[in-house]
Amino acid sequence: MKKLLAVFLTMGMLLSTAACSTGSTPAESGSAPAGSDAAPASSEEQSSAAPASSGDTLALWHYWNSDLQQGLLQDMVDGYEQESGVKIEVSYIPYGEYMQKILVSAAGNVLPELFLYDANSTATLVEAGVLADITSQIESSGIMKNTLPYVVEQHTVGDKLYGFPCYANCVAFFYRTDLIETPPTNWTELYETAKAVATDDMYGFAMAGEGEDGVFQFLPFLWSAGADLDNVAAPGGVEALDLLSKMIDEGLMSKDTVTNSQEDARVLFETGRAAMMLNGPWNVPPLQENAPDMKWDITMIPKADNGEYTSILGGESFGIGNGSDVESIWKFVEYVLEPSRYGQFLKDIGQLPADTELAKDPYYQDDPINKIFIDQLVVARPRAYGPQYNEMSKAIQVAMGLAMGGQETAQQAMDEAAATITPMYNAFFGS
Amino acid sequence: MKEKKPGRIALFFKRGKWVDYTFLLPAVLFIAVLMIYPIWYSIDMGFRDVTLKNFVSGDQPFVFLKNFQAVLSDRFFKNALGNTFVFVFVCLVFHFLFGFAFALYFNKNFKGAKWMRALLLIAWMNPTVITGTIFEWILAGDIGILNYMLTSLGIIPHAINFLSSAQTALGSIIFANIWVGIPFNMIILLSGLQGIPGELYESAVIDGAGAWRRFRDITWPMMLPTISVLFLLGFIYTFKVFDLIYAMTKGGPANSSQILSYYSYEKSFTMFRFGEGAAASNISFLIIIALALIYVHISKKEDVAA
Repeated sequence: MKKLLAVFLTMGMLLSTAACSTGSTPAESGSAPAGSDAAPASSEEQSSAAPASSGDTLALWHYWNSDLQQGLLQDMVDGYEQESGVKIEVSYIPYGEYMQKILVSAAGNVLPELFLYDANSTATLVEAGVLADITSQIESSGIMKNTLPYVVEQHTVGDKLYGFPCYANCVAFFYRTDLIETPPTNWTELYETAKAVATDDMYGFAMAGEGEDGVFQFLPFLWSAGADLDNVAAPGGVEALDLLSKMIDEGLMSKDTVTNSQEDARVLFETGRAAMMLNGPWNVPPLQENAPDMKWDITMIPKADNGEYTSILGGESFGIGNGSDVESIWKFVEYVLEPSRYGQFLKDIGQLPADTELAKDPYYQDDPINKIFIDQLVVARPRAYGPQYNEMSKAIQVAMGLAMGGQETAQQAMDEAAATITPMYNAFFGS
Repeated sequence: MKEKKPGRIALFFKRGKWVDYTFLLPAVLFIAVLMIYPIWYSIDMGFRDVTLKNFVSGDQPFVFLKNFQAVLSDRFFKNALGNTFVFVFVCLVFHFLFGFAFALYFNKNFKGAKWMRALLLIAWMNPTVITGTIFEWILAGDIGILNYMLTSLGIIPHAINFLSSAQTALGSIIFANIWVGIPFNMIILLSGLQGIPGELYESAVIDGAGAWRRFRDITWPMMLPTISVLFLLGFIYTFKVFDLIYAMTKGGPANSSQILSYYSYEKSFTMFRFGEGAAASNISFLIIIALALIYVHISKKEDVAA
């Protein structure tokens, strides 16, 4: 009798652990308060076949961690819920595990209806089969009819659209107005200005050089000189890398550039250790806060001597989970993107519109800093190089490390990078 | 006689022995689900073509050694493998030397020894990401305090860019990791030292043995089992260091501070070549298994000898 009891107890323990693990699946995806009706008792069968939520509840995933961002998103959701009666369950997932979570959810067929993603990873997410093709919805609703062409390209794979921008951003050129009267407009002037202004305690110029941050800030130089990822060892690419390596070698830029992030570049600038820098609009508020008395202004990134003005596109976008009911969430998308509501959202969240009509707002046109970023955004190009972009980027990172560290010439470093990148480029664009 | 064999199984059930075994089930299940399955999954993935494209669909063809070939012919893999061995070797040597020195010191049980020992352990208990970030700040070229001290004392004329120079990046990470690992080595060695009976030393003193003789003929041989366990654990811990590199250099500049763990992370989660990343992990797994087998072999011999 005792033995039988023991067996039952053991079995009971096993069952309860098993039950816990299945029971927690729907709950862990939601940051909604406990007891929400998102996980009905019989959710097991439903969730295996259907998206993350079922019935009247739609799922929205994001990785925004600031109170401001989360609050604005929640306001949107609350407003829509009141108007439509449809429930939207918002879930926060930390950025570090976002991609893994999305991939695993896709494999388990429980993708959310709507989710935020880094605009640069459109092709990667399409390759993984995570994003739904929403070309017809975007075209019939006209939500991207005024969107900047490069931003449209950022969301296009093949001829199809897989996402739409939440907001866009780009980098521009910051300089100290008390030290520099006329900011440089081309590379020669950049070099000479840096040389004139640099002292023992201050670099002429600062930018990011580590990881994707570094490539993000390097590509505008490469593009400006007429090169592209089809051949980074073309003269333009080599000149761009050579210019920066030379400035590092001569002490006009920090030797630590290859380990500096964009925040590190800002710290050099705001502590008076660099007279010029490349950075994005998200670093303007901390700069104003940390160095309230510093006199600075922004302008377009200096172009190659015979080149054109460029910048690089960043930003965040929304995509729709592949396999979910696009129509069910589309009304919410249209609600969010209703111009006056969306325009106010962008101002509140402090980001730039990718929409040329919204950019005409005096809020952007009459503000000297916003105006430059809006102008810079028009020439900002996407990193739309297909699903292997991260590997291409890694090859450029290695080349930057080698040339900026003085181990190889810019030509040698770029030749090696091109050997990796060009075949991937050709495979994606099919030449 | 032959009929008795199945009888054993019948007996097994009749005597109720099977009930005893059911008590093992939770533990077995726990290990199977949380340890054996992930390891098996990773080994299996190394032999399949797993990319972003087929990760979601699950249709991952078996490619046998293709991933291993791709990894082994990658020059950055060779670079990472070489770095790993330099990293592990230098770290282990310094961990042991400093750890042993500290252990001998704290074995003296002077006033406040316990407090100081506990304080030293903080280095080891700190989350490695925080340690890495602190060392990044200490060693930074422009804002680092080490450079500030060295240049203002006139020891070096210009700041050294420890983390952004390919010559010093790996060395800087080794330096940080040595600092992290010393307390752990100290504690393990100290517990070994305190396990040596004091009478041995007393009788050695009576026999006229000096400090060096006592160390060579009592401390060292009595400590050998502890030391070999420590080296095995140290090897495994050092081999899989990841967060320190992530926080300090991200393997850069130009992969100069990349070791195997970081290499497979980057293959899997930056480049999404899951198959190749798993193949690289399998190679590290093999190396660790090989070392563990050598250890088991040696310790068996010792048991026989003793």
